[in-house]
Amino acid sequence: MITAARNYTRFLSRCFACLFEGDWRYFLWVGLLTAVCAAGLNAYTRQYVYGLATTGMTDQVSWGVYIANFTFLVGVAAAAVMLVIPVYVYHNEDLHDLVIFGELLAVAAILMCLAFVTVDLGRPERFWHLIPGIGKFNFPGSMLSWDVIVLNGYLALNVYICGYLLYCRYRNVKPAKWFYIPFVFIGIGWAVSIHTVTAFLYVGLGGRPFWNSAIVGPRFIASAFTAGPAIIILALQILRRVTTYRVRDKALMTLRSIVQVSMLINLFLLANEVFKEFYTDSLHVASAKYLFFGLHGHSALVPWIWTAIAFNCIAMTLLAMPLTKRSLPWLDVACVLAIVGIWIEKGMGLVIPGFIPSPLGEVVEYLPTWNETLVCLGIWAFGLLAYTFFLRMSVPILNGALNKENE
Amino acid sequence: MIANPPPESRDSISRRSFLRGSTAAAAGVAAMAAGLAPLRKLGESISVDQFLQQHYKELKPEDMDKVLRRIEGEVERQYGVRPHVRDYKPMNGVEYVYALNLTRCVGCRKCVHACVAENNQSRDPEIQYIQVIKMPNGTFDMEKGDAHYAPESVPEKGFFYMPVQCHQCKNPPCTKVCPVKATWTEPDGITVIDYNWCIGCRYCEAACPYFARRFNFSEPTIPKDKLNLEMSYLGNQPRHKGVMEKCHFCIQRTRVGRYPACLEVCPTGSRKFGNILDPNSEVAHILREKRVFVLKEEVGTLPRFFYYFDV
Amino acid sequence: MSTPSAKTNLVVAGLVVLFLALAASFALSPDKAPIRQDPELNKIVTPAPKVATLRISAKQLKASGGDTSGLDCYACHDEKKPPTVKMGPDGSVVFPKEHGDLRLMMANCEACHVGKKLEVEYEKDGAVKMPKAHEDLLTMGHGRNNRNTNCFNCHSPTKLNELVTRDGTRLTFDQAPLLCASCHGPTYRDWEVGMHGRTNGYWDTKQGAAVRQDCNACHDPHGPAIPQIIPLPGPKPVLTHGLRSAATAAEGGGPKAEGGPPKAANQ
Repeated sequence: MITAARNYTRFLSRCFACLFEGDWRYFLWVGLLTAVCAAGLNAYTRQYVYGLATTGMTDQVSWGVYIANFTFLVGVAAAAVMLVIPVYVYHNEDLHDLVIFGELLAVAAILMCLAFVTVDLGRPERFWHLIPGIGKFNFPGSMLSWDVIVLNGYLALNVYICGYLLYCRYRNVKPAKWFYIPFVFIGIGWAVSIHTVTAFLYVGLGGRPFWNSAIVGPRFIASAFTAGPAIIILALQILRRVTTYRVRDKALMTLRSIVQVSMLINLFLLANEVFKEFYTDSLHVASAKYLFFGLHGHSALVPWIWTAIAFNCIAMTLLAMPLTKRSLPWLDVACVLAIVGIWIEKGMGLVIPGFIPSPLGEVVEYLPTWNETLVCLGIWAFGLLAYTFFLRMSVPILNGALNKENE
Repeated sequence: MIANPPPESRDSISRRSFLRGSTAAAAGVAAMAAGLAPLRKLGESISVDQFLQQHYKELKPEDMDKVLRRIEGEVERQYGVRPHVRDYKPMNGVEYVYALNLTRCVGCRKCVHACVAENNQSRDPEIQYIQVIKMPNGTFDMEKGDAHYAPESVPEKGFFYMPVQCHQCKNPPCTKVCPVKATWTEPDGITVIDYNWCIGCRYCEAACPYFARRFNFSEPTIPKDKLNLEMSYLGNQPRHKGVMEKCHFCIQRTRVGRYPACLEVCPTGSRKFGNILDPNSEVAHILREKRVFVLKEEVGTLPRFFYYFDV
Repeated sequence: MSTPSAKTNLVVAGLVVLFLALAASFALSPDKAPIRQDPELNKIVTPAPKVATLRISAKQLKASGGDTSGLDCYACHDEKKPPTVKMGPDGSVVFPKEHGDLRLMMANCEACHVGKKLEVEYEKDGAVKMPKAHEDLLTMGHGRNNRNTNCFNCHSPTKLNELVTRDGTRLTFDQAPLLCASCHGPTYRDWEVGMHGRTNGYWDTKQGAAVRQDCNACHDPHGPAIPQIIPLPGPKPVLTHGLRSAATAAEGGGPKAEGGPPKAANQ
């Protein structure tokens, strides 16, 4: 028992030591991310001291870029499951090791989600009020309580699976099927649930007709399964370049097909939404009008949504063409367009218009402040840093460079 | 390339690179720590009692007493005067209902400011629980309304005025969504907020169909001489940044049998309030005899706030 | 392997410098709150409106021990000589300007002028100086198309300290609501049960008194329509990155649009 603990501690300390070694590109990357983190932390401290008045949020638009980023990143986290399904359900062994990279991305994304929600709270020190038993947890009534459970559960699931598989590889031991396969399958369902629960946060509000629609859940999943694998495609190519890890083209092509189909579904669902809003032309279409065409002279979001739609359509076209199969740079272009397009569509194109006009018909637009933007950049940097560290530890383990043999 | 270091010089290289890495890391940590500099401006930090305070419903009478004294002390330290903070319990056999006569409302906004004075709202920025919407005759489309009207005098021809505040719904969407149960409906119908429990997630603000809730984006400022010293825990105790607040039917007045402040200053008598369970109350008469309606009935909130026209 | 290692050293050194510079900028940055506030908007702190009715009825005036000398009709009138209604050239009833100050005295200034200390001004001969804004108090305006402007529809010409209904019933000034009821039946019915007119004090009469008002506490019988009121300030417009919200932008933007016209703004 004690030896097991000692061995595990040794393993962890070796992993930790890895983080301090690297070439100049590693230090530059990590260093710059840390600098952005520090700036974000400073901006957040200002927000903690002075209150959320340091952001651009108002009573009318009470959720902004923090929740927009949170929504996007929950989708990215859920999309890790898109790597798991081909491997464990369809036994596509080419992608086997990539599952770990996908799940590590999910862990980093969930950490970012938790950070975004925390910085959005007016009283973050009262987080303990959420703990069942000690605080008062409004489960199952509040969808936010469901979100707390599913997000933390998903985090635990992924940390456990990755940790177990990596430790087994470190010890050159075959992982015991019962210790991880059931959890992997739970994870597949759980991944869909985290994003659906996040969608239900919005869907259940009768006072916000823009959100109160059954299509929001499916749109969330479709866009998540487009943007998530697109991020993984880019991350794997970077991995190829900076580590000795071999990422097969076949893996990238499988992911490409996933992005291709999901983007098609995403755009189809968008078309459904647009038809329903504009053909019906009821008073409830005000938010959609604001988003796509402007309302009563206010049109801050109009260029953004049309850019997003353009990006998504171009990405879909590129993905449909064999060009992206042959040429990785073109695939990268398509992925970047898809990620940016979906970030805009899901973040600004969903969260903000729900608040405009206000329930009493007032149009108040939203613009994040510099402080708010710095906090967002800080959390993104934190997430990228976390993912970098995870890869910095896991690649040598998978490679065999970091192994019990050479302790 | 993150390659394997050559075995023979592995130790020396690792040690050197470890030192190099740790220097960078230490400097990074120093930058992070310096980033926390604004905390020195935090002023009065949160006391242990404040931090550990339980939810309103968990407080036994002696705990509540301690909390009330603590709040009195906090207000005294901040404003220089000691208030009376009490916890008023709901009365039996009482369910409050508000009725608003749209024929009579002239849009003078005295109700808005009586509320601000009574309930210790922040003045900078000024938080107003009541919003009076100026609506053109012939429509109830809120998009055509205007809450920022500022003519020379009211009422203006061709318009009617509709004050909106928390409707204390029977089926409130806001209490459903609160993750920590910081807001709930009391037996007498008032939807209350435990300001010391709220975590400030603003989900309730997103859920409310009537724009009734307000959030403290910064620390409220109340001029010392304008502080209302008769306070209640669930009502007009001064709030702090980061928590929600809203109309609570002047709980510190209504639960001792008095009318809310907004009603008492209305020059045209447009506001009516009382116990709907009493068949002789004004509001019971109104619901029986006048043609009342509620806003956004299709959302199913079952408001306890009714509008009607006289003539 | 010295060149890559030297490069790394350089990068690390550069990073250390960057971090220290950041730390310095954080520590030395001013503690100004980065909050979007517009000092212009936040200057006005509206005083609390008082619980005042628009007028004081004769009953209230007597009850509060105020100066009721103006209500003593025969101080000026001759008992044997009933007054007559003066008609103007266009056939409308002329309100006696001698009674104008009485109407003004019965008005409760603070009901409309929130926070302002207003003093009634007097002419040299002791008559009240009627403010221009309230010159409507020198006219009769009861009923649409002035249907009810004849003084003796309500006043008894022979007994000036009494009121009289259409069917000849005599009422004291304290019984004025019954006179109003003789025409405004539905409103009186509503008033009786509390649906018309404001009630102050306690809704729960077991714990305290409900204070009801007579008709004249809000309605001047010579011009019963509720007068125009100067509105108090509305919600402060929202600032987004220094931009005002739509509403005030439409009205011309700026604090003056939000706080009411300058002369009416509450200081």
